[in-house]
Amino acid sequence: MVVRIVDYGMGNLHSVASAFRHLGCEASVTSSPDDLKGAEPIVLPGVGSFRRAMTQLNRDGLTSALRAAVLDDGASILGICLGMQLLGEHGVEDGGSAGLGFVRGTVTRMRTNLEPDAKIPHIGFTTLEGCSGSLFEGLPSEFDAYFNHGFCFEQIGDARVTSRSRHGQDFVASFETDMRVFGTQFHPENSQAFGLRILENFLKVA
Amino acid sequence: MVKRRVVFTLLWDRGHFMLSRNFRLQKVGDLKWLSQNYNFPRISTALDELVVLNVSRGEGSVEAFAADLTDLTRGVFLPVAAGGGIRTETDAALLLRSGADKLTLNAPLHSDPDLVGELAARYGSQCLVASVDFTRAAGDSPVAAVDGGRVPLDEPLRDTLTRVEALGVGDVLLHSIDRDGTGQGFDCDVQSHFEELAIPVILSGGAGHSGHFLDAFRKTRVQGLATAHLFNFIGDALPNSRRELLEDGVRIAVFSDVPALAGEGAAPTST
Repeated sequence: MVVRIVDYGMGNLHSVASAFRHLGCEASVTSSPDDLKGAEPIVLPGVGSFRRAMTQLNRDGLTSALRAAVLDDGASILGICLGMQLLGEHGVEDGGSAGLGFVRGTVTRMRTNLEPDAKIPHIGFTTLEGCSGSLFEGLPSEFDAYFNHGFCFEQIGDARVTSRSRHGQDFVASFETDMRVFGTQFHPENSQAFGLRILENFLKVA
Repeated sequence: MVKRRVVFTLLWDRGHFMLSRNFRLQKVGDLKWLSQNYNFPRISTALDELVVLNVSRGEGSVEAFAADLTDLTRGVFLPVAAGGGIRTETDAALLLRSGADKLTLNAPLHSDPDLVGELAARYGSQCLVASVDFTRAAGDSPVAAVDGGRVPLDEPLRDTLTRVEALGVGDVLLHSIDRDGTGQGFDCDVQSHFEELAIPVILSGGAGHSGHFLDAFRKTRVQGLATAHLFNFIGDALPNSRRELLEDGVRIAVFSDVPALAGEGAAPTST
């Protein structure tokens, strides 16, 4: 199995690729739409601006290639952090822009209504709650994962929320759909042994 | 609620890892030495974050640094912030392709704020760690110092930090030059100079044993504490410190003791 890691100039690509290679899987980092044809699993990593990321994906022809791979070829996809957010419909950052639209939901700036002195961006390990679904097979229902973000989904549609977390506010920490579209707001590749297990679980269902 | 962080800093100088005392550097060994003497992937499971700083003087070391960073971070699955010597967007992109999850910036905070702004716009503020060194050498009031800690800035530390935060960084790694490598404990009193910051602060410099971590976590509201002491905090010392902190009620992440599952045997060595 070859995992295709999408390079649109904004990710911690090496860390993601290195984690999959550690699990004994081949990982190819690509920015070519042609490489996204077929059903092999896709990982959309990313740190940074939603708007800039979508501009880059649109310009490189990756938006339509990703949609074709997932909707026509049946490829499963895992979006990590910004990559998860891009799977939604809309991001409000920087004037707002449309996302890939695999799930319904808007990415909003994190609020601190539950915890007024919470620092944003949310950086560090925080507890995942209510973990369920295929990515969490064999893992506890609560454990600590690494987050590094300033925006989030409060709610999401057309998907099952498979964990939530709290920092300043309550937010979606992960989801999955029947189309095998997965998203983690946290970084499995930076979350020690628990995180590796999540990537391994993705490979199992992909 | 985000947990507090135990951070280790590795200092890299043209292929060697260094021990620092008051910013005077002493060579301890290269990557091969590090992997032979310390099982770094195993030690890393006791850390929340790793910072790798290129402290080389002179030009042209970014590529060599990036190559060593790739080897070093193989089998390490925690956030890695790397920097030192980032002068262009190309340097930054290279490090992010070589094992860095975040970028650490020091000189450009003062000499090239436009670069910092551009990196923040591209990668987001959560990708940027501002590394600020400070000293109390000129009296009680701390000031930031640049150029390897040799040139103090002509403004209070508080003003420097406020300015740096406004550039769009996500974290501040605040390092005491006076405590650096001394093992005398953290400079907890510096807290009053960063209390107004909205972004997290990691305090560094002075850790000699795990009691210093506990003391500083209790006395201050810092998000994280860092040490660069290769001898005091290596081997079982880090896992032991982490366990003690948890037992003493410090809110740090609990990691699985389970080895990295399928990958445990598959981790390639760096040599």
